[in-house]
Amino acid sequence: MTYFYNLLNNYPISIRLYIGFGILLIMFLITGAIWAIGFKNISDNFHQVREASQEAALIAKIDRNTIDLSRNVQVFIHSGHEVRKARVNEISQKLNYKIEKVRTSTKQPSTRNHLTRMQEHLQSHMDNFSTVAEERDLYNNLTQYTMSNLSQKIEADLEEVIETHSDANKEIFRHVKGAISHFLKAERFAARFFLSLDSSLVKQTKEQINMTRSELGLLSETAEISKTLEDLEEFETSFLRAVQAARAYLYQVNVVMAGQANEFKYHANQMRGSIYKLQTEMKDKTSQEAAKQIQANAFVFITSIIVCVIISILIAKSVTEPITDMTKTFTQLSLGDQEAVIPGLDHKDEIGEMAKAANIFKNKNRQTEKLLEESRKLTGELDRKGKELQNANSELEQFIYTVSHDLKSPIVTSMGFIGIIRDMMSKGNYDLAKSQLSRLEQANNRMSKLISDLLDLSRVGRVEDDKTQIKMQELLATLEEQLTPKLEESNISLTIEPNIPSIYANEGSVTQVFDNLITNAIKYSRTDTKQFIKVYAKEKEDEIIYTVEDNGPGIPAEYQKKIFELFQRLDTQKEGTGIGLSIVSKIMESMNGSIHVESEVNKGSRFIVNFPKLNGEIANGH
Amino acid sequence: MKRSFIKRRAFLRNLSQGAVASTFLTSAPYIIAKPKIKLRVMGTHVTLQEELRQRAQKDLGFEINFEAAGSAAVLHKASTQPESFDLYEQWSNSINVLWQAEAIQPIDISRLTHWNEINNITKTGRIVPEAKIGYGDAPYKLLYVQDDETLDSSPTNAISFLPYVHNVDSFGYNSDVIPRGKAYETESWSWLFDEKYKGKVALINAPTIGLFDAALAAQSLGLIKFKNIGNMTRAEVDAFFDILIDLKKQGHFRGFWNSVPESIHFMKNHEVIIQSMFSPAVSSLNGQSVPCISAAPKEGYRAWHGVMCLSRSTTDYVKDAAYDYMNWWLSGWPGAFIARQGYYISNPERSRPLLSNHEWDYWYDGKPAEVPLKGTHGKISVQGGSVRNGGSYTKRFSNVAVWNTVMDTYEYTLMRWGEFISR
Repeated sequence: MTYFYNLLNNYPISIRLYIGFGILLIMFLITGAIWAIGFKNISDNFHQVREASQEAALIAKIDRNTIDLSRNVQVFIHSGHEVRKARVNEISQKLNYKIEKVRTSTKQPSTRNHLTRMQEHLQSHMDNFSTVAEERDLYNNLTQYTMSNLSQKIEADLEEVIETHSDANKEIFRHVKGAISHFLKAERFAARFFLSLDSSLVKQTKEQINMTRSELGLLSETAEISKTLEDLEEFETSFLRAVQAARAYLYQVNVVMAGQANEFKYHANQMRGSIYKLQTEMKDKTSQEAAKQIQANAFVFITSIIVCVIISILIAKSVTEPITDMTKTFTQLSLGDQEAVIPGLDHKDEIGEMAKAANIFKNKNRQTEKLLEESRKLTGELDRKGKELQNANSELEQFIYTVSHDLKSPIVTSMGFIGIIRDMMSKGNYDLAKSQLSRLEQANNRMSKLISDLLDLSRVGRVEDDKTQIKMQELLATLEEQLTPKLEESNISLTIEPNIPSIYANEGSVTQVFDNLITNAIKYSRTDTKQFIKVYAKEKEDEIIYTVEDNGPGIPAEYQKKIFELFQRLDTQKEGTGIGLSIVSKIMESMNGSIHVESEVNKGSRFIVNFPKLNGEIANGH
Repeated sequence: MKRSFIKRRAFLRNLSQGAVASTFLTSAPYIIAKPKIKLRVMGTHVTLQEELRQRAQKDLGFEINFEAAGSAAVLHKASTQPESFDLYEQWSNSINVLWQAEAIQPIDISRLTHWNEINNITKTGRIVPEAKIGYGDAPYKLLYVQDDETLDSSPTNAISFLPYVHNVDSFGYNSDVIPRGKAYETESWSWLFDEKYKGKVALINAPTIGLFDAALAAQSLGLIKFKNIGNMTRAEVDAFFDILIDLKKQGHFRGFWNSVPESIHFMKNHEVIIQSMFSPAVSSLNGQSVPCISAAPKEGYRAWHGVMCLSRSTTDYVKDAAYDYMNWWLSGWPGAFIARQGYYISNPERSRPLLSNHEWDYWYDGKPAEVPLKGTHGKISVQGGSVRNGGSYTKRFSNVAVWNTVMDTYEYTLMRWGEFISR
């Protein structure tokens, strides 16, 4: 079964279907052929039974004719009636016709053989019957007419001799009387022979005739005597011929024809027996054939069903199983399982072709998915960029507004002081006017500082490519040195922990980040407690985290993100532009790093800066 | 219808006187010119064989015509139409009929060249002194024509028939079905009536022959005792036919064959397994691989003797030719020819030089055939090592139970026979 299944799979589905339907067709044809053969056999048997019945009927007629023939032959032999003779010939002709008819039509060699032999016997029988009829006629003529006439004649002749010799001597008279006596005895013996058919009577008759002849021979040979002797001779001849005729027809009837009749009877019986046997055999055969046919049909029918079921299952299995697998695979694929294995790739049939197509589809699908993913990514990027653009726009608007406002404020202040100074100068208060110039200068310095910061902000990211290995320990030390006046002024201690890891980045940007953070810590320090600033770092596998910690006033939670926005200031009393942390944030962003703040009001803040490690960065390059 | 009785009587009366003239006629028939002769021989197929006719014509120089038919047909024709034949060949049981019908004339012994070689079966009835004569029409009883025109065994100068072909018959059986018996010891005529063979038995359809087969069987079984089986009384005939008819009613007999081919057909087709049989039929069946055994019954054989008779109507040159033909039959070659068919000739010693020693040993002396022997058609008819059942010629003819016979009750038996086979 498995072999056949595997074998089937080597062929295309169309061929498999053709094979399946071919086998079904063959089974159908076999079933049909067996039905047809069986039906033909049974039909032939019935035909033979019918033929045998017809033959039996004809043989029965032959049998009846045979009996009729024998009966009429017997009647003719006993009666001699011509009508019987004609009837015998008529029956014989009919019988011969019927024998010939069955003989030429029968399919049974034994029946044909019996009929051939019957026909031969019939021919001989009729030849013998002719002989019998002739001999019987002859016998009748001889015994009833010829011999009777001759007897009368001889008796008359002898009476005439007696009369002629009436005057003769006693010797002659005694011889004549003796002749008459012997002849009468001869007649009597002859008559008795024809009645009893005892052969000894023939001998006795002949003896008496010879004695008659002897008696007459003793007489002188006269014309009368010679004539009487001739008549006596003729009587004897007629008698012997009649005897032969009697013997002949007795022989023919009782031996030859009786033997032939016996053969007729035998052959008729044999044929009856044969036909009966044949009919019985044919009936039995027909029954057996029918039973066999039923068995054969049942067998073929069941076999056909089994074969059909097996073929159907095998073909269905060989077709549907891969399709089901394929469907499952398509479902998996449709659910996004890109790893789903396409079944049937090794098939050499349509399934194999479909599997190859599905595989191609799968690969294309995978590519499409990839493209979609990229598309999604790009869309996200686009959205992000859009938001960034929007933010940038907002920022820009805010920036423009703030810049305009902040730039306008010193100008307004300057314009106010210029007006005041003008008034004062017009009033001649030159000293007072001069004293106001420092305030005008402060306003301009603030505007200059604002513009300087804006320039710094605009430069963020433009020098990114100028990266070097920065020894952070040294960089921070330099910063400390530069900021020392401010620290001292504010009485703030700056602690830079040792072993600060180096990074690979733009040195100016990094310097500005830490400068801004430390400067901010100094700027926004408290006076009610000893202030300190600590800088330390921690190196992780893919990043370096620097922290600038202070114990300043802290930043409320709601402002911890806002402080990184442009121009956002928590304490407007303090001098500043509100740009410093924005610059820091921008720089970190441009370096793919980040910055956030952890702060608690009145306890201090920790500005945590994450620098990603870049290729070529020397770990622990202190 | 002018009879020849006077002539026959005159013949007898003048036999001795005409001896010289007869000798002259016999010894010098071809010296004077004579008309074209056509000798008409009527008989059965047993002796009217084409090879014999051709050879006789060649040897004798005149035309010979054979008219062969069944026994009854030729007997009837011969007895009623003696002018239709010159020589008649049949069995000795036909002599009484022919002689009584005066269809034949006496044969002059002095014109028979090899008369003195004729053996004693026909002359005295015994081939050897201790042999059984057998009941019925033993041919020697019918051989010599007496002065009173009767036929008797007393030698005279005239005979009613020329003794020539003869044989003993019995029944044949298929040894595939019936276990082979021992000749003269277990083989018995009673087998014919054995109930085991019911429906498979046949008799020859001839009351002068088949009747005796059945009578020997009935007598052997003790069903009847005949005073003289060769001449049954009417009472015996009636009692005997009652037995036969009873058997027939029981379906004992398959049938009654009319000719040798029919008897062959019966056995070859397995219609019978035991039946009356003639020697050629047995040979033929053996030649066709049917193991037919010709039995040697312990009760003795039914014998037959061929007779060659001279028509009362045959005269002059034709009569001379008839004598020539008769002498030719006893001249050796025909005896050797028919010996190869299992028949015997009345003067076998004349044929002996024409037979090989092996042939003589087998056919006449009853010895095993040292080599395969060929029949008259050149085919092997006797396999090497075979022994003729019944033994030698002498032994077989020493065990004759009865001869084929026309009994005084012949006509009556015909009627009873008809009744028998019609049942």
